[in-house]
Amino acid sequence: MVEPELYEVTVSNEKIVDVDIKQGYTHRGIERLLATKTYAQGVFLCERICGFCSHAHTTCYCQTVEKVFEVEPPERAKYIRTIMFELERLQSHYLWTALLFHTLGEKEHFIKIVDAREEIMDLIELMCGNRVHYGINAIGGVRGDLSVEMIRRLRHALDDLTSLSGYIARATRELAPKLSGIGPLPREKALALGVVGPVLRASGVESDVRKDDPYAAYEEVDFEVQVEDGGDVLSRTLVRVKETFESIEIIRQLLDDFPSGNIAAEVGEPPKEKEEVGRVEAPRGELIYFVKSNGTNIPERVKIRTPTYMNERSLPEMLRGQRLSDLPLILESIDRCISCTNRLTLVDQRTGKKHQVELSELRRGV
Amino acid sequence: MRQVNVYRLDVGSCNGCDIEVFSAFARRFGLEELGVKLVGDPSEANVLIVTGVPTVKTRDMLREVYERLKPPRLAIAVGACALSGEAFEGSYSVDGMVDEIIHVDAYVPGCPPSPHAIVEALVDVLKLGSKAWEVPGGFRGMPNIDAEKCTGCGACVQVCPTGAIEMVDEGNERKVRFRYEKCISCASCEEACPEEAVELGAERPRATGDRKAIGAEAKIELRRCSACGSTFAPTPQLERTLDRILEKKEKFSGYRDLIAQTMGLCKNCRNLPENIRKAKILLFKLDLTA
Repeated sequence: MVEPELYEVTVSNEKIVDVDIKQGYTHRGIERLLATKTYAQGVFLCERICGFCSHAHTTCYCQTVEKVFEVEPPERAKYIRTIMFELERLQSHYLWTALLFHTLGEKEHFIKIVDAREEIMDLIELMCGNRVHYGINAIGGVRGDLSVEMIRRLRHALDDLTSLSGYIARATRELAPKLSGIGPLPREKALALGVVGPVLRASGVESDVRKDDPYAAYEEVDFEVQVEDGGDVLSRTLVRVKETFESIEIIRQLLDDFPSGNIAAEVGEPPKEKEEVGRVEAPRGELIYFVKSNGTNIPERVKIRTPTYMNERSLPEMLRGQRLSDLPLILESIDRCISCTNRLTLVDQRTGKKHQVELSELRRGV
Repeated sequence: MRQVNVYRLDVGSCNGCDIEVFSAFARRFGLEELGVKLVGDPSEANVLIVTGVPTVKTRDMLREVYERLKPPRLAIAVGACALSGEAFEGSYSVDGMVDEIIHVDAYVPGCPPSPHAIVEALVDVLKLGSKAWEVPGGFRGMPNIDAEKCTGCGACVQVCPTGAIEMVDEGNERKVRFRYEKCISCASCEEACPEEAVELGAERPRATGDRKAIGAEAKIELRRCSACGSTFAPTPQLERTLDRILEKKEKFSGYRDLIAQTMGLCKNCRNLPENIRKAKILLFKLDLTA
């Protein structure tokens, strides 16, 4: 899972020589716990793997379990799932751009985006009753419907978000010189390391589960996979900023032909021995679930592969040879879903001496 | 105005609470005007916000960070994980509760608590006045239980994903207790309750100084076995079951008392030869009417 981590960075003359990533700080044994809870309880547990991609996790889990049970959710449920999915991507990408500007010391942009993002959060709270863990997914469909009033408010909010995305795009253009050429990850390396999501797309590879293996209602919408060739922090920023425009467009299209009908299908008995794999395009990249049943109402095994786990491996490649002061920016650029990686160990290559510092000190140029 | 510096420490959370702590510092909540600021170094801070459940790897880190705070040290546990370990309690990699490791001054329940609740808690703990916001319709708060409607059947206990609902039999009573410290407001209990006795509240949960004190409880009377006198099932559940049988099979209404008598026996007495014989005769008669 995504977690607070410790980076051991070896430095020579302010240049990064090597990085060692120490993981496991927030390891909560979720895969083991999932094999002790019923399928329905598992949805809420999966939701709590990650606060940013909670809906991606539940959608992937529910879709994989639905394959095991051979249930097809109704069209309207698929549309609601997809709308929530894109709203989640929007709030996640906006928060990411805010954090990027924060790392760059652009306080004004940071405050503006954080404040504007609250509008989506209010909307999500109104639609789902909670801002972070939507709790809207269930096996066989969704638990809550969208009223006409909510759809009206959503359309209205999308207009505001378009202008927010425009603001971010302009700010990114202004700051492009500070981002260009930093933390390079060429196409071949990206493919060899198996990175996913916006990091992969920023290295010139057109890969998006929404397009390659459409799920929920993605087959019904027309959108473009955003690709950049630079392979640097600037490209990663541009991919995400452009994706916010695409997400808004996807939601508009879904609202235009929103089907009527049921929002949940009847779920039958659990099958004896069956295993399935499902994947979705979470805000950070490809998320994979494996579910195996054993005939009881508790799964035999659930295996999860999260996107940050893949993207993290590219960090040593991006960081080697870069300036130490660029480290926070490069770490930020892969959108690690980590909340308290606020420290790292610096190793002086000549003396072998280690000392721990806070990331914020690096920003101040210590 | 004195400056309050807050340091946020994630000891094993899903980031949900961290996002909301972060959002609490958006301008609309006005913390900056009150002199409250988020800082990146614990030795500059006097308030610690802890999110998540302590894991084997973060347990010692939590104590270290707390000791680096500037006195007077204040610690606020935010979110169900930091209060009670939520669904992760008992996992092999979870190691103790936050308040077993450091002294906690206030607890904010919720999964995750909204920034409004976090701001309310901060303002309250720091004695900076009070703040309140309107709650949108459809907000999922903590579950309330209607003791009149509850039959003590335990359907909610079965479905709760975090084990927040406890059922204990004591003397003549069954206690059904909703522990808010573990509750994630998922509404599974509300959906599962056959009597519509559970309903999620529309209020944002407020911070508390005693995590174990917050909750809702219903006490249900237990029936004593008409033969041996031991308690065996909640009275309202037996009554509801009998009603349902007669609702579905109107023809049985003439046997109401006989069915009630059979249902009034505990598991052990029901299996005595003479009672099995009586029950078989009853079943035979019921078969004939149907």
